[in-house]
Amino acid sequence: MDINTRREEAAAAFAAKGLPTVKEEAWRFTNVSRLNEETFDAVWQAAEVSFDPLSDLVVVFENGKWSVEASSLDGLPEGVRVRSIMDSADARLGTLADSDSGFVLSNTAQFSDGILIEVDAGVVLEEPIHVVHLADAEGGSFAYRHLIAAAAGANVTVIEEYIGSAGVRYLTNVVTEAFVADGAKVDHYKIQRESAAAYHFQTLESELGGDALFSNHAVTVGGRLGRNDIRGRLLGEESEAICNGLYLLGEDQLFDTHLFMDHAVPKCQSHELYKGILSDQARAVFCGRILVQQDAQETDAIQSNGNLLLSRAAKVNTMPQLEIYADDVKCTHGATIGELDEQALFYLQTRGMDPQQAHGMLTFAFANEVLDEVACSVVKLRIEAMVQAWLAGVNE
Amino acid sequence: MKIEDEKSFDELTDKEYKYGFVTDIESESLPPGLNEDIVREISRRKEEPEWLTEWRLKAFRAWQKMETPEWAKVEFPPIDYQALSYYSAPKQKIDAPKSLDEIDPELLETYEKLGIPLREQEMLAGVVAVDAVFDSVSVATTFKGKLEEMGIIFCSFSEAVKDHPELVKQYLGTVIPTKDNYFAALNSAVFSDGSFCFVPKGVRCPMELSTYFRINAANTGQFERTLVIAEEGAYVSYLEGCTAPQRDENQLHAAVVELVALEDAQIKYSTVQNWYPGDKNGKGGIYNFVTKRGHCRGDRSKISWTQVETGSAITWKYPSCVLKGDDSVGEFYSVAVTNNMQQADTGTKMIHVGKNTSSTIISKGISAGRAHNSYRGLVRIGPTAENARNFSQCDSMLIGDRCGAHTFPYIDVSNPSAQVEHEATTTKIGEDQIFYCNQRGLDTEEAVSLIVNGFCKEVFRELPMEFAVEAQKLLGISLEGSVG
Repeated sequence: MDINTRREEAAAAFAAKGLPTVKEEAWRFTNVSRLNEETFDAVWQAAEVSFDPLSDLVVVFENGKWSVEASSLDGLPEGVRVRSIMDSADARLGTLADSDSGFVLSNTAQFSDGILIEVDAGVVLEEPIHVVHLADAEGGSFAYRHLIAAAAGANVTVIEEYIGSAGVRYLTNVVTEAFVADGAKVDHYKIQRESAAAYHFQTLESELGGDALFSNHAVTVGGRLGRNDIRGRLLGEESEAICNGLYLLGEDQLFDTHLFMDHAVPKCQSHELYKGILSDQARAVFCGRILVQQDAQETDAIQSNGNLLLSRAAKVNTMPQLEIYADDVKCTHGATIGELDEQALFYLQTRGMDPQQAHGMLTFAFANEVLDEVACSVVKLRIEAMVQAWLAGVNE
Repeated sequence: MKIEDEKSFDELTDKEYKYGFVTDIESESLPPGLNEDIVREISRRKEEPEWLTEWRLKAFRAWQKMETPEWAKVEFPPIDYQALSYYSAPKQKIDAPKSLDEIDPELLETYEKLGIPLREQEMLAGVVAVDAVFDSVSVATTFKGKLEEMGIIFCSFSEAVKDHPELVKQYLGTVIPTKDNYFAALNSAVFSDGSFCFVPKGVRCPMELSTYFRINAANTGQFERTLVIAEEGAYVSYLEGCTAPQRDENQLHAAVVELVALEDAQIKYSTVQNWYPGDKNGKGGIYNFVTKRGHCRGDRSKISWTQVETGSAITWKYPSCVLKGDDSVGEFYSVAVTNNMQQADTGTKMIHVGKNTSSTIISKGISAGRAHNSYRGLVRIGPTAENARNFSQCDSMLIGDRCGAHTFPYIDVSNPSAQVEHEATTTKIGEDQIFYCNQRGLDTEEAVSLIVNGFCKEVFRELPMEFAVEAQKLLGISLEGSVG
């Protein structure tokens, strides 16, 4: 099916189905009905938002379109191709993303741009590719479609960063598909710091071959209402998926994470560590589902979700789920919700810290567990700074 | 029930479960079907007051507008509610087996393994009526007299409606409203009978109340309704069901249990459920759709649910606690065993409303054969529940590679002072563990039983003494044939 037919079909399906409602189990805590009442239009204009590149390889999207001037792909080695998704009709597009979801359908029908990263077999790209999305168009609607394909034994790091101009209202709807072939390794990072009035939705789908590794770290501080749908399919033996995340929410933010790990074959591993800190009236939703299919023996799946509530009005809904059809597996999940340990706070104060310092230190330590897992040092520094800035904002 | 169901049901009664039943509709039974007239007729035959008839009708009208819930991880063909008969008079003794010689030897063997006394075996197999078990009415009257002296009311639901209508009216449906869910609404409309227990202020019930002592409620039927009320400072421990496989001709069971604990009151509710699970291929078996909920209304009240679920083709059951009073405590201890084609979707809800409330959830799911066992639970800490605590532990054990074990917890927290912890693990019985036991002279089946019992120990120790020993043996029997 060519891409235009696919887009037309998705448009028709979306027109019939619309956005998900709270009647659907997967959306019961995340009401997106207000999106139907607000209007968003595709506006393609340059964006006046500053950013710090994390790599020499930078691709910049401004209000929905690839900006050639701001992007820089000099020094891209042989065997690595980075282009706009609009320039190539990749047959794999849409084969992973769940076509049933309203956001995916809408994205397929409407995406205005996106990145296609292809890494040939055995090619190792040391330098990360920094994909920056800038938004400052009031009422804008930005639909991005990304595709990452790492051939056998290839190795690539991709950083998706979303930055919005303060106070601007817009809608970002992203679908990213990652194909990780046998023995390949894809490290994927997502830093979401959209404007506080923005809406942000992403579906990230990955498919892993044998002995492959896919890692995803998602850090969220922005957006009024947002959701990450992250799904991984482990289709080759001995593959490993890592999905970690950190969400720092305040005011009336609502952020939803839906993780789904599908262990289809034996001897795979998946590790998920999600942490959240909530202040004000913020709400977090976390649903992590691990499916171990029949005969997917020797699966090792660990999931944990920790939440720290800093305010009386904050709220958390967490649903760690296991669905297991094989007996020789090691699967655990855990979830905790609470406030800072009084005794730990007291201990630090007896060592001469004032309450605020003690509070800050313990809160940072809580988040730091996720940071420890970040391998890419430039990303780690960026996230660390974000966490510190966020905490400073809370303590004000 | 649909035709194929009816067929399987017939086969169930005709073959594997051939304990002398006939399915002929007796003269005193109502014809199959469900409508307002049937509901009225049930109420009339039970000589119920008008308010209760109206209450049933309200539930029935609500039920008509509801849809069968489909969220549980269980599969069964649609049930034709118009094909069921909703009222049958107590069974004629002529239809029952004359002696234990007529009973399936396999069943007798099971009784033997459970160590059930002969007279009790006869009762369970339906050879004698339950009131004959304790040999005379006097035993029962002794118990009843003793309870009455203390002001405890323990009787069948129908008796309670006649003798204590004010209490029934005050509490019925206040924990589980008629419209609560599909099966609760159905039960509210057509409930046949059940138990009623009222423990007055400051009284500690001196014995475990159980169906053993309940003489007149032998035929509570498939839509059982239980109401337990513990007034200020009262204590009661209630046992439901029994460890032995019970004969039962109804395929659909939709029971409702309501518990009310006032200030400083404690209710301990233990269940052992071992209904017919169907054969190895999943033919027949009981559908057990139960709504159980307790209200901790007063401060410092406590409700504790303990359940051992080994029977039924489908178990759909979530005993819950609403912790309204400050410092109230909710507990849920569960062992659910599924073998062959059984399906269980069970768990609990802990709703924290009051300050300093705490809840504990310990769930052990064991799945063997081609069975599916799900834990589904909700822990909700409301905005007013200061310093609430919850600890949940859901462990699954898989025996064989064709079964499934699933965990679906929901945790909603709206108060920062809450401390909520949930953990779940999945394990199997290690070959090294079996090997070790074999070395020490235990055969594989014994080894499995031993290991599984160890896995469930935390729950078994919550059971009243008389149940605990039997439950352990029962576990071994339920898992027979699951290994090797």
